[in-house]
Amino acid sequence: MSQPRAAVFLTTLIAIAGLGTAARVEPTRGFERVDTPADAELEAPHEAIVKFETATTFSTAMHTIQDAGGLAARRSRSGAHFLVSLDPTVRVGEALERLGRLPGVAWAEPNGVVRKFGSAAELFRPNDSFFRFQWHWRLLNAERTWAIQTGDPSIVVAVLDTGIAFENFGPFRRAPDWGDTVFVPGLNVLDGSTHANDDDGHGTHVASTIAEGTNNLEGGAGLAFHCALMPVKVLDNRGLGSFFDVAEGIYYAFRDAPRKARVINLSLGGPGSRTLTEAIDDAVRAGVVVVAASGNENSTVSFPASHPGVIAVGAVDQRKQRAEYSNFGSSLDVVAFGGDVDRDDDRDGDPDGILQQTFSGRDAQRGIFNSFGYFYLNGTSQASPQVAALAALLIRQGVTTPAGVQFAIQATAEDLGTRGRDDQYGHGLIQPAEALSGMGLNR
Amino acid sequence: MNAPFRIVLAAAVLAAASMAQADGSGLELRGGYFDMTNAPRSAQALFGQRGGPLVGIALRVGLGENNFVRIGASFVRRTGERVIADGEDVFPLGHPLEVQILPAYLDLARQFLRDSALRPYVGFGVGAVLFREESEVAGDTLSDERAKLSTRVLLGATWGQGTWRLGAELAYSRAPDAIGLGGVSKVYGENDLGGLSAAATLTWRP
Repeated sequence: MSQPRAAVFLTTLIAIAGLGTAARVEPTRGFERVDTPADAELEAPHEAIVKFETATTFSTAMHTIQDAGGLAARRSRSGAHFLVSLDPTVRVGEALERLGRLPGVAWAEPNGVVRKFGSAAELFRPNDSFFRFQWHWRLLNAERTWAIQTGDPSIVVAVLDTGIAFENFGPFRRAPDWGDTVFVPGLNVLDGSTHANDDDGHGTHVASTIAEGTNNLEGGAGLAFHCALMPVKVLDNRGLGSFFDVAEGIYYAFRDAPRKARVINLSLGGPGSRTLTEAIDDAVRAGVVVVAASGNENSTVSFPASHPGVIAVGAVDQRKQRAEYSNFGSSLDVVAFGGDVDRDDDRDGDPDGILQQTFSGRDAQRGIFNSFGYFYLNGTSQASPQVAALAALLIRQGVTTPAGVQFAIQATAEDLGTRGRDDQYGHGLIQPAEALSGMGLNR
Repeated sequence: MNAPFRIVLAAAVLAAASMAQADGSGLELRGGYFDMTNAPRSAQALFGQRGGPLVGIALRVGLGENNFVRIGASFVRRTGERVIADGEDVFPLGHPLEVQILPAYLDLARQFLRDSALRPYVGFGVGAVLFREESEVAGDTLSDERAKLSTRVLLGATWGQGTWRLGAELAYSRAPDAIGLGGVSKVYGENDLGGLSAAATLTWRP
């Protein structure tokens, strides 16, 4: 987790061949190093999350909080939680103890850090149909899936991430391959605006897996391309965010948004949090499917994927073997293709990552957000939105509860590894067409 | 042709040959109701109810004054939708589904009240159940077809002494391992395609 990850990208060299009537693309490899924050940079903010047992006025709460050494507070969308900035001279543990003892306070916990699951990236810009480079869709039988269901804008998938390149606003530009994909009003939790633009590239790639413009003669495809996307920015331009902000994003997505999400994708994780746990539980109780990446540390499944009620998604490579980075364990539910950019098992000369549109992370760090292209990324961040997209398609097909969606995905998964459910692959590799076909009496 | 149907076919030939010689022979038509007693949750999930109508035909051959053998077949057709079934929650997906069940059987029965117009009987039978399932999903046909041995017990009565005789019959059949290999029957752990049937019969005795 602490090691900087090398990111590889392909630039393209366009060569005009023949008599000047045909254009040919010759990919040329280049390298750029994109560092994800090391653990040393992930120092938790000097903040606490306080939950009051009953609804209380802001002024009453502030009075109580200040008595315990809190400097300032921000109220959550749920109303019961307060994010408290602590006096830097007071240790967090000491402040939590004081806050927890206050009358009317249910509990207090430190505000922690969540982060996107980093990926090694490679940019590739062929001028041909990019769908043929999306081997993950081929192996998931996407064309058959689309014969059954392509989604509908009435089904909203919220992407809680670094934002999405969905609009032209300030320095931000709309990514080129959204086709007729519908975006519903989102939220930038970090600044409170509706401009949840991506300043990192991670969120755009994740969102493109779900609903990149498809069948529009441009770029690649997304699995649920007729579903609507809701951009919710909860991670900053380093891919970092806090429990409080992710929880805020969840409440916005399923409760406060003018058009509410039916599916929430979380390609992020960190240590456990009661605040985030409550938000997820509330979302699931409200009928929302919550999907999360298992994490990329070759370790046990991260939070919030490990939380019951969340569909925890691990990653396999093109051989359908667990990717070496993919987290595993008893709370792993299913796997999807996360790829591995260090492999080329189909010997096509390209890395076996997941190809979707986004923009250069290196350029983004320099404040340039329009270096759009088609990047091979790998990670459970790439696998999770495949499952989120399938969940959206299942809802459109008529499976209306989170438990039903999870059951459909698990019951129709291709069993990998040891027979039956196991900790490496969960219930197996998702099979979207099988899930959408449902069950007959004996088949 | 599989073994169960060879047995039934051979029995049919024997019964037809006997019919020409024996008293009490006849041709029986039946109509009634078949309940998927042994796979109720699967039936409920796919078809919205456990049972449905059945029709059938049989050849009946008397063996002396108190016994008869009967060879026949019934037909049950059910339509519904493919579903996602998660315990009590069932989500129809809109893909049409049709299931056909064709039990073929050879019964041996003993009748009572020899001189009465009302003649009750009890019996048992062996045979085969032909099961066929077909559904249409976005232009693709998904089908499954299999035949399994079945057994049954029956209780009934006929009324009348002329050429035409009315009757009623209850039967309970078992057909283990006919289902349960996939689909909702696997989810619910139901592997038996048998069940209770109730039918009215009309017998023509030349």
